[in-house]
Amino acid sequence: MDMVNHLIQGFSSLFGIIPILAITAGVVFGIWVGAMPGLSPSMGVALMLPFTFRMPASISLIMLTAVYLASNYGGSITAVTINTPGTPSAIATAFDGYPLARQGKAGWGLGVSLVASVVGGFIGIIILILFSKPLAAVAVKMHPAEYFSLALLGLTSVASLGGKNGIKAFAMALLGLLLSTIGLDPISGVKRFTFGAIELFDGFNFIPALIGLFALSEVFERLETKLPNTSGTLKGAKAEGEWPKIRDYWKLKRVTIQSSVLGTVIGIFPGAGSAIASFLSYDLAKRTSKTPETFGQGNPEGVAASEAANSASVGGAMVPLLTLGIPGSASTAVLISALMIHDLVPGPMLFSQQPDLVYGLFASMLVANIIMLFVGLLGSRLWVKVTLIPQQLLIPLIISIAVVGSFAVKNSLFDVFVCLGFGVAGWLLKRYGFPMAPIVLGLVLGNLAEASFRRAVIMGGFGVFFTRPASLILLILCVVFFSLPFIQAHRDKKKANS
Amino acid sequence: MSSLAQLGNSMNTPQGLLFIIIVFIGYLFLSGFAIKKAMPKEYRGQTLVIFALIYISIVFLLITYSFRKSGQVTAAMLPRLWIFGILACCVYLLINILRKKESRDPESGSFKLPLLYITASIIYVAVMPLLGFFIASFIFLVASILMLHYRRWFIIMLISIGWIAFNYILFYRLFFVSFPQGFLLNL
Repeated sequence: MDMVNHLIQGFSSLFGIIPILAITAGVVFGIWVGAMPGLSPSMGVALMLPFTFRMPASISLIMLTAVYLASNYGGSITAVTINTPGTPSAIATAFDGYPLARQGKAGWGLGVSLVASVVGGFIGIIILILFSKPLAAVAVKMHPAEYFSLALLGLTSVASLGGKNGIKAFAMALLGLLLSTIGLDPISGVKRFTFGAIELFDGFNFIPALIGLFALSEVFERLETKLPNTSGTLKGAKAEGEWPKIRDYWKLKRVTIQSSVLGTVIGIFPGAGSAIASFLSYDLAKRTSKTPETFGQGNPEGVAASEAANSASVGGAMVPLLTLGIPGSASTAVLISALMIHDLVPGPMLFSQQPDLVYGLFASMLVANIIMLFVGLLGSRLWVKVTLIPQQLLIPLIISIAVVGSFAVKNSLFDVFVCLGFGVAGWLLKRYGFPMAPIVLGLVLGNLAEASFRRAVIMGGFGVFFTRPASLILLILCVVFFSLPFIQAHRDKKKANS
Repeated sequence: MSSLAQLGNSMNTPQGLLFIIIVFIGYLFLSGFAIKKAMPKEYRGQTLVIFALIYISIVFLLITYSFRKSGQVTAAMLPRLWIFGILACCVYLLINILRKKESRDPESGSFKLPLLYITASIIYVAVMPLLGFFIASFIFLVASILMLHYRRWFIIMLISIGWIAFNYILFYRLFFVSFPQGFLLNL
């Protein structure tokens, strides 16, 4: 009952032009930041932070949280329109979002990603409100063995990402894992595969690699084929394709809700991240779909699964932040600094000492989702026009975006060369049937998997993965999920032969 | 230090990297020649890719012997696990190719334009410290649009100048990204 009263009070604190303006500004800025490759959600929150110093604590927090929430959705815009995920969590969105755009259904890709993000965001926040304290207790008990098993579970999605090329996909995932070991070893400090380059001490920066593998490889692939020899014009262009109707969104309810719950749960675990949430949800959606063979070719379920999960993970990431003061992601780490600037200490005491602030924040997150829906609906009519830009203009622009995005991460030209290198390698690999997604998966999960594995062994020996029940269950799931596509393929082959 | 460790150590240097790249180019040429003689046309491309993966794996494996050993799980353990996995996949794929069970290479388009663009992109980034980001980007955009036979000059100028202005306002002024200035702006 207390919770309901606090929540009502939280909503009432938003009645006013200033809170609504703050949320709207945060949402618009967040979408913008998320859409730009090279700018991450944490960067967006950090950039907004100085502007909020003089604001009251409540306004400051709701603005920054709106940026965090909206930037996870923003990444899907460029993922769908130009196959350049603006954030790592939008990688899985590109798998089906971009093929939809290529089929002339960019409206579908953008519409589904928006609505799924909003629904996912809602569900994540509701779970946060109702279950924050018990979930936090679980999160803090996570052992490195469980983190390793979770990372391995994420890697099993390579089996479904690879499609018919299972072994090629597996080889690419291993390549991604190998590339993730480049740099200073986090435990022993050994320089691994750095070739004397200081720039490689931290390994390959993820964003340039991502832009190269997705955007540049696609550009080079398009350049191989004969481009339409048209002067093209933006004037008089019609919006490409139709937009989903409400009944179309209703058909995606199962996958959206299941992905939202999974995304929230994964977001709770510090360090797990929205990218893992979106990959796992995509994989689960594919496994539970009636038409799994259409994933990767423009199935809206894939878009919905990824976006619902990455938006729901925001609510999950707020659980350890608010209840324990543990940042679950880079963005929440910046939020902690915002809390401290306003003399607020995140943790269990925050709920009891400042319930108005906490529940006002929850209410603002719900309102931010609604505002994001409106801003997204208005903006989508504009974003979709990107797909109508002639190739002769779009291709140079994509390369320019790739260069700027790669450079902006660390103000380094080395990262731009890395981006180009990954672009060329990605083009050649994709050309001969080696999929890109597993490389990215390996790069994303490699550090988490290795660090957790080694910590777990140091703490409990090699047997710890099997003696801890949660880890054992996750490992069994890994074996099952990994072998299922191969077993299915073998059965299909037998059926076809007979 | 064992000889393998010494070899790995010498490879994990800038000179070592240059040597690896030169050997890699030679290796690719030789492999390409051998593959052309031995393999049917529809599998040559992916076979070359597999050979490249094998080379990279072996090089990385040799380098792991230079890693200092400490603790139960050394710095070399997981890289080696991934490397052996890649090698196993490569062997499996090669066997499949020899049995003609793998999907064929796709129809090839023209490599001319992608290679031209790759070269242009490398030159663009290489001259950026000299000319500065804004001038280099303007030249790159105009040149790369013209390379694709687009000739509406008004649109070309609009896009190029608009892009420069966008980056100047958003990234340079708002986000304080330190783009290379080049010698012209530093005069």
